[in-house]
Amino acid sequence: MKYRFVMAAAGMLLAIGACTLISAKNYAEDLAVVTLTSTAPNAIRQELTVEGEVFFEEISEIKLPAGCTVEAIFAGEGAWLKAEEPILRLKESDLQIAYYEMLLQAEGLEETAEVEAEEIRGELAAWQLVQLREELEILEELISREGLICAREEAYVIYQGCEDGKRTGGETVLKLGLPEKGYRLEWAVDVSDFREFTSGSAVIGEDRMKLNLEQPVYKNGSYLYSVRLEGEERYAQGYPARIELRYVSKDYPMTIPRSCVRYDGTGAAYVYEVVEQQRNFGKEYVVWKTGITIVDQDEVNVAVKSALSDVVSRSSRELSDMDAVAVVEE
Amino acid sequence: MRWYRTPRAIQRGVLILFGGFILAPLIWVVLRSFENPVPYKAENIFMFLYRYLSPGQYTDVLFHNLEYWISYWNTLLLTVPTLLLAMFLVSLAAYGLTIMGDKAQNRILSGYAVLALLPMQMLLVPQLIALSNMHLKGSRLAVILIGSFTPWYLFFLHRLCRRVPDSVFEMARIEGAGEWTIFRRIALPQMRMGLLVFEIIVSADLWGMVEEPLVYIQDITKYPLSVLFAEAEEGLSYAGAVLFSLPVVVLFLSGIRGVMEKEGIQG
Repeated sequence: MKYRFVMAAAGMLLAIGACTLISAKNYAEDLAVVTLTSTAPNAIRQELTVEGEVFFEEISEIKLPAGCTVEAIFAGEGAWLKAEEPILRLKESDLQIAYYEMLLQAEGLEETAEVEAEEIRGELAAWQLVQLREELEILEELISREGLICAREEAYVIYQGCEDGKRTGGETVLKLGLPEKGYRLEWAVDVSDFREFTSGSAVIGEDRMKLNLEQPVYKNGSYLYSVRLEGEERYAQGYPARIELRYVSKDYPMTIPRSCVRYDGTGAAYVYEVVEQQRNFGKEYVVWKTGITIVDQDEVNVAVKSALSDVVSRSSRELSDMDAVAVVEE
Repeated sequence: MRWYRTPRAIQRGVLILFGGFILAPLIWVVLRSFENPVPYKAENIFMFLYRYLSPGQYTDVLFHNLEYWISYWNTLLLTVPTLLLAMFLVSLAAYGLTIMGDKAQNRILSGYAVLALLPMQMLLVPQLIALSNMHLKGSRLAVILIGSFTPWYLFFLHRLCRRVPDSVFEMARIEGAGEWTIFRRIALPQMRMGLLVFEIIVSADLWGMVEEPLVYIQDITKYPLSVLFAEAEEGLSYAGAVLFSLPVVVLFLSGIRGVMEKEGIQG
């Protein structure tokens, strides 16, 4: 009986010992391995690259007289012109006809203005006459140049709404960009990416230049920036540019790496803090879900409101609240 | 109608009924211990079997519950020394009492009876103060010492020891045997059967102790499994309870067989 009892007790002790060892091994294997970090003072930096376009600071519009045939076009849209370089030629006879028709019209208006000087009709005729005389001056100049329209200064043809051999309409206009007057660089920043950017630079073609940022204007969910460009370079209207914007915040007293932050189903941000827990086999580290308020963030760091210590920055597997973990010393 | 005159079938039926009533909690715990810890929907017979006949709880407890096994060791570390010390001290005290005069025996036993009748809760605070003064509070030794000196155990063994006639002890003394030799060679063998029963009862009592470790130890690293059962997950506690009861059951079965063999009772 004694032998049987001793054997049973020994077997039981062996079984308990084996189960303890296997459980300890499985416990250690099931632990998520985490690395920790704590809040530290840091600045939030963000860089944003957007596409922009270059525009002429000043655009000259030339209104063409109506009913004149375009005899020749010397410069199309996108052409660069030097001062006095011809753009197009209008048929001289059409100009003459237009001139004399306008002259007759002017005479009629003069009469009306004199006869009915006190009447409204007379007032209207007087004002129409002023306008007509300005147009007559343009026509006179065009006739003197034999119908040739030239650039007054160095220019870029932005828009030219006429075709060779066709008559001009009343709204036909030439739009010329004037490089001498300078350029503006314009771009938009989506409201989700917007920051109070502290500095920026632009890459236009092969040129890189520093930008003096001005206060943007909010419009339709975007912030529109418009910055005057310095320098002697020449660019076409709408020339593409790459804008690199930088934001550097003040130093926040409490920042943590962005990899620490997780979001729940409602979009609320939280981190896992590691706390010590006393178990019967000793101390155990468990993760504790802690909600945080994000003050500012960039791609690397997140500034938070409250101080945090022993925050999980990396984990070997997905964690959930109160999970036991193994902490790796860094 | 007298009980012994009733038909055997009715007698057996009544016994089975009472036995079943007493065993019902045990059967319930054993059945629930085979329930899968994951509550799958039992949509067909296979899923039903998978849900209600699964070793899941046992594998979880056996191989994935370190806390359980540490507490198991704590139970052993408290129970085995307490049992051994109690057997030694109580048998010695029982012999001591037996060889005293009847008057002294009665007085001492009366004192013990008063102590034994006091509710345990009443003794907890004085014992705790005494242990604190001995700088034993928080140690396992506190529980071992308190457990070893339980008055009930003395009553039990004293009655067994009294069955040995005084003349036997007298004869030994005349032959020149000392008290220690008489205790070891005469009293102890006479109490052997009682000690076996004592061992079964006391180990079952100690195995499930809760209050003493909670009050005297107050340290989670030293708590026995019976204390930790309060915080165990419901699912795991069924398999845990079955495994926890195994050593006591084995001890009981081996011990009772020994008693039956000695007493010549047919099993």
